[in-house]
Amino acid sequence: MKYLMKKTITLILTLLTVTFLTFIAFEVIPGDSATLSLGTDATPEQIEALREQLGYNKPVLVRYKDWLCDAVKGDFGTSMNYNLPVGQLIKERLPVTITLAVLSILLTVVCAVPLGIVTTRKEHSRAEGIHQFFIHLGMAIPPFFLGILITFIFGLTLRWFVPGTELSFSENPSQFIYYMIYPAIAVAVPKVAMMTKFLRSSIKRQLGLDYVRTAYSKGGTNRHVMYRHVLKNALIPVITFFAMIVAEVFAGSIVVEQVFNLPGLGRLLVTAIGNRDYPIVQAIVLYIAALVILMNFIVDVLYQYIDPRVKAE
Amino acid sequence: MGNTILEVNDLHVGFVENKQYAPIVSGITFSISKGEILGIVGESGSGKSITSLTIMDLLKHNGKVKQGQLLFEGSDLLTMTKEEKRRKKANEIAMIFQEPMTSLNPVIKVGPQVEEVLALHKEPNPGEYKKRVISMFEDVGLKDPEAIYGKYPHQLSGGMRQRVMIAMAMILRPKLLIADEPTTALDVTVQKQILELLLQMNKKYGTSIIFISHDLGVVRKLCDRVIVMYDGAIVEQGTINEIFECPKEEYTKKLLAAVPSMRKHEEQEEAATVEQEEETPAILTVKDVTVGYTVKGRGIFGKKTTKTIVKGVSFDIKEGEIFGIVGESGSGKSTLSKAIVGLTPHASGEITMQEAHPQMVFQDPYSSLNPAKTIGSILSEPLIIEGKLKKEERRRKVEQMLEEVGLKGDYYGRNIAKLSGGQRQRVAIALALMTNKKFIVLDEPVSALDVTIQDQILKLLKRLQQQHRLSYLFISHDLNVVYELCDRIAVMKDGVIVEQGTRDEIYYHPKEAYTRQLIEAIV
Repeated sequence: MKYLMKKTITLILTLLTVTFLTFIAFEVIPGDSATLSLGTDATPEQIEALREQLGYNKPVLVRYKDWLCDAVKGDFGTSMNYNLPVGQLIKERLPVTITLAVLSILLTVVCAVPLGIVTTRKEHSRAEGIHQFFIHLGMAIPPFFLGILITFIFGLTLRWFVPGTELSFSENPSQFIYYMIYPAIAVAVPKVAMMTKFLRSSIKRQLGLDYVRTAYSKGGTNRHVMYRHVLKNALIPVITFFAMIVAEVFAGSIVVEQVFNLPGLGRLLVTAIGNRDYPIVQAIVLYIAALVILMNFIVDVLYQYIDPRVKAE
Repeated sequence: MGNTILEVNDLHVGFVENKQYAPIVSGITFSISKGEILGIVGESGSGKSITSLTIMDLLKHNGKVKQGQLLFEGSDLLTMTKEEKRRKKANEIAMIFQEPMTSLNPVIKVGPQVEEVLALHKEPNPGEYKKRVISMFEDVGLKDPEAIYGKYPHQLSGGMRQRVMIAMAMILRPKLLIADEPTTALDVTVQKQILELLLQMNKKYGTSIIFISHDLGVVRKLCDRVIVMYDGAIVEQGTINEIFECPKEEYTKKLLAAVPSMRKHEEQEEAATVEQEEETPAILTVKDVTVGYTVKGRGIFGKKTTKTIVKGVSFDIKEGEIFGIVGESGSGKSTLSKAIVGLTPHASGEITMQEAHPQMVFQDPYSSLNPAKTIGSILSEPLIIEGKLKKEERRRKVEQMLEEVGLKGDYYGRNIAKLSGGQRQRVAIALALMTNKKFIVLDEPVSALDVTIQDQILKLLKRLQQQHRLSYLFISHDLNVVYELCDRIAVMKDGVIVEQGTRDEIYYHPKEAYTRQLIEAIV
């Protein structure tokens, strides 16, 4: 419990630091939104008036406090470009990104864990070379190409889905999720390959350890040794890696969103950067940072349950 | 032969690498009777461990039994199906291993780890399993067995873990127990207890034991009969008395002669040590030294706490003297040595030396030298740092030093990775001597080596010490080795020096109870 308390306090502090740094970073970048939205023709008086109106003339710390309080309430300001609240813009895109993320994470776990186990089993056989080939192919293939390939095979040739359809979660959830499976595959394939490779080497390392020999000396079957003894130990390092994948996927996949014409967070971010739409960029950076920190927090807590040695330290 | 439990006939085992068969065990034949304790001794590479792993069917994937028979109660283990062999494991033949630290699964509680043996062999009454485990824990002398049941391996000491391993091996009352170096990783006092426990199991349940060890002293104490193995073959076998009192083969004689032992010297005159003149200046003075680690708590607010390892230790080492520090693991002897060399800062007290930066030789020659470098480049390094010699001079000096530590020939350009443990330790010693230092700290320099190699290294150290009038601080847990080499000795326990004196004072007239306990545990 004490461990959890400590971790929570660390989490909050890290989040505060990150939000502050994010805020400062956009303070430092020259050219604020006031100048931008009025254009180059504006008189200094006009700019000054707008700055006053937007509250840019207050001290940095006061503005940080205001911004943070608003952000906690979900108010990230107004987008210059869309002239809409940033919160609303993000909210509209979240279902796409979250569905895509959850599907690709599920696919990754469902495929990578059994593949990791099976491919270690087949070590020292001819199949090993074939496994290696597919793992490396999966890691090397660029997601956009995979996206195009999937569109071509499943969309254009087999006609299992119609590429470029615009669907929304609220109107037709099942249709929406079905359509999302294809981009999810494009996102998941490289992750599956990486995680399989990682888990495989982790399992291999464990198989060489003394406790595995002990387990066999007790009369354990291969199954028993793998599932009761090896897997739990082998997953410990994989969890950190997995958390990185999760954070990455939740941040949105720009390329895949583009290929499948999905209105997700990744595309919003790219457009916003192009337009110098700082409130959006700020909000998304904050979202990604918070996500990474949160994932790390979850990993730390998970470790405690999986590896009893962590508690002892 | 109704009394024989296991009969090994002409067993050939090897490894297949690149489709080439490399023999490890070539044609050994022996047997063990019911209730007997059979010792197998040999140095690393002799094939003793491979023999035991073959019996347990635990060979790695590239291990191959080429020919032979393993008759367990008359039926051949080698021709059985995998399932038949699996049912024999733990049930009829069980095994305990060298490393109690790593032999248990770190993420599962020890109780359930023992309990699963019962489930794997489909023992009746699953409801009774836990009770059986707890009573077995009691049987192997674990105090508070119910609490131990719920502990993770890292919460137990090495001795306790080995007891858990024995409980795991004995819970189904196997007919044969294979113990592969079960006490090598343990402290002397704990080693004694574990040996007694094995003997007790043997008496109580009539279990035959194959006891594999490189430690002849231990084998002599425990076993009824002994097999001496060398290079995959049996050199000699016989009863303890036959082997230890009148060995027939050259190799056995050599092996016995190499064992450092205070008992061997007992009849010799006691005043063999060189008397130190009072005037000899001290090369190192340690005065009231305390060493501790700062342990930082986890997280941003983790409190810093200091853990004291060495508590107010004082001693001095005179020129040309070999000073030994003995103690069990956790006594602080290694931490103290690191503080002296300057690898760890000391919290308080004074360390004064005649010359700065004493050199150190570490325990594990396999991990303490960079395997990617050549011997020449490793040994040249201190000379380059010193910056006094030119390239050719450096090379000449390195070659000269290599010859001095007994590595004649073209070692200069060779890679560390290709050397044996003994050769590596010679390189480490050469490295320590490179800059003409008079004082060297040796931290368990021979504990990782085989007896005959150990003997050679000890002789080398002694020769170098006499030739160059060196002083050593020699740290070891092995009281026999310390006896062989040291002039004066300090006994450490829990960070303090319990007793210090000349070798003979410590070994023959110990004043403190702890010292006596250590001396008595020597086998």
